[in-house]
Amino acid sequence: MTLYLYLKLKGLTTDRSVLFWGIFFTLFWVLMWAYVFTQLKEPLPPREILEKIHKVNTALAYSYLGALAMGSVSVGLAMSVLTSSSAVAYATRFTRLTPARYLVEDFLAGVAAVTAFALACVAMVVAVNYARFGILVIPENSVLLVLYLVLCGILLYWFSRCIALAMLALGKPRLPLLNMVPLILASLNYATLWVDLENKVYALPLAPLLSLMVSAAAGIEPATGGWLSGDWLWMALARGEAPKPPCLLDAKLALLSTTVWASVFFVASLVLVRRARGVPVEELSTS
Amino acid sequence: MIRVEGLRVVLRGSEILHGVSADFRGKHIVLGPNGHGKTTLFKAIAGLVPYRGIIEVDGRPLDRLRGATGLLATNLAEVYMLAPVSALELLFLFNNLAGSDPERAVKLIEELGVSRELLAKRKLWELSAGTRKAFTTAVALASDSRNVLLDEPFEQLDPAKKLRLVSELRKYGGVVIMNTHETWVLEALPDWEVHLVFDGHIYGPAQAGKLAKATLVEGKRDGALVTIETQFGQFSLIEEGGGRALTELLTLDRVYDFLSNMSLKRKLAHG
Repeated sequence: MTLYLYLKLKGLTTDRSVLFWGIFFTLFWVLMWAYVFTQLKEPLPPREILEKIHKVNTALAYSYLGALAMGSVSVGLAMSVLTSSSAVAYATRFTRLTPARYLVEDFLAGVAAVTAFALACVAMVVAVNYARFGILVIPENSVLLVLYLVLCGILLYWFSRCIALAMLALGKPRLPLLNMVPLILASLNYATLWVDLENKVYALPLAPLLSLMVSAAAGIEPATGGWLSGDWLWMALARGEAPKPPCLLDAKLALLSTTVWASVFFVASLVLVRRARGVPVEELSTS
Repeated sequence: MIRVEGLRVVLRGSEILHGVSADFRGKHIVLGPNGHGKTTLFKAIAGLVPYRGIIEVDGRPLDRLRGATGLLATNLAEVYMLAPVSALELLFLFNNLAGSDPERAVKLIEELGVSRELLAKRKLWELSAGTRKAFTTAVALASDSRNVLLDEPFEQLDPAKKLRLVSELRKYGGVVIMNTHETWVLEALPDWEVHLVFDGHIYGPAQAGKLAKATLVEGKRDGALVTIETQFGQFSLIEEGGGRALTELLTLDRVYDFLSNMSLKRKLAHG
């Protein structure tokens, strides 16, 4: 690992603001999820069914709360694009950090940071669930889950970059709230837990991927949303049946939607980078 | 060697540099009041702002430079902020990318009164303006680049540290271009060439030692070291004769006080 890649990754994962929003804020909601929102009513179903219910419940928790954690890192990513804009312009000309090397290493660091926070959220949910219910839940398909998390990272990386470059192009690096847009996007997607957008879900940049994550982690069919609206999910699980979502998510369309959105943000970044100017340190230190 | 020709920089709709042309070989001071385009000139040369015209570093067009290690260093703080990590880590990162010795930079920074511990604890933008300037100046000089741009390197340094920095500047082997609004540097570095920047135009060069003894007079004078056009009218720097010594002004920001006083006196005299 190069020093640039290491320090970029370190900077993104140790930033106080990112740690607050990505770990402590997420942990608060993980605890709320486990201790307040999750209520088991007597009589409890057989152990096998109970474990399945926990598997689905934790998958929903870390997929959708993980979105908030990833959104937080993305805010840090956007800020790092702002703060390093002049440094990158200089370094790519006068140091060994060529433009190609910068793009590759910055991308790797960004995606790794987003994925790391998402995995931290998975670990927090599994640990808190075990502490509360004594049931250790292992994701059904861990490889696919990690793959989807990385896809989330890629999508959010280009989205954050796009937001930061838009701020630079507008000449307003201190524009209130604009750098928080990734977190707002994550929160919007969180709402699809209760709201079923049906086929309109493919128009959202992140929601289809979150549903695929639930599916991979819990081993159930993916829904277009509304996991917690009505009792279709829990009733089916309590009966020991495979839940049938009111509107089934098409995995291929979901992946296509993610790819299209990531491409849109990638192309927009390339366009915006030509209009962006660097930010002087004086302007950043007061923001 | 740095050459700029017909350099124009427009920021937020207003033109800051109006067709600046100059050749910088050896040691140079760019002297001028605050807000007249000195730093913008440096930012353009470092590739940080969009520009029109020609900028060449050691004969190579700026637009085509990529991965040119050891060609140009600067103390503009924004060029060091590659990652959101501590100032010390940034120092190591920059030296790693520039292929220079980080310990040399740390030694010079400590000589300028900044501790290694402080740099390890704080991010660059969390340092005070003076500490940040000492940090970036030391890193730029320790890089041993063939060309160095130093933006107000003496800012907020105490006299002892200013002397330490002057000695470092005197022995530096490459091209150094330093901008400042303080006139005492003319006496400290008498053999350096001086360019004056006023209202986005560049004047000179003239030798620092001569300017240190020069006086400021209103209007254009034959044989003047430099004649400068400002919004308050022309003034000349001459080697002999009346007027006020340039170094008496302490900072070039006071040129406008001087000129506006002269203008006021003239108007009063004419009723």
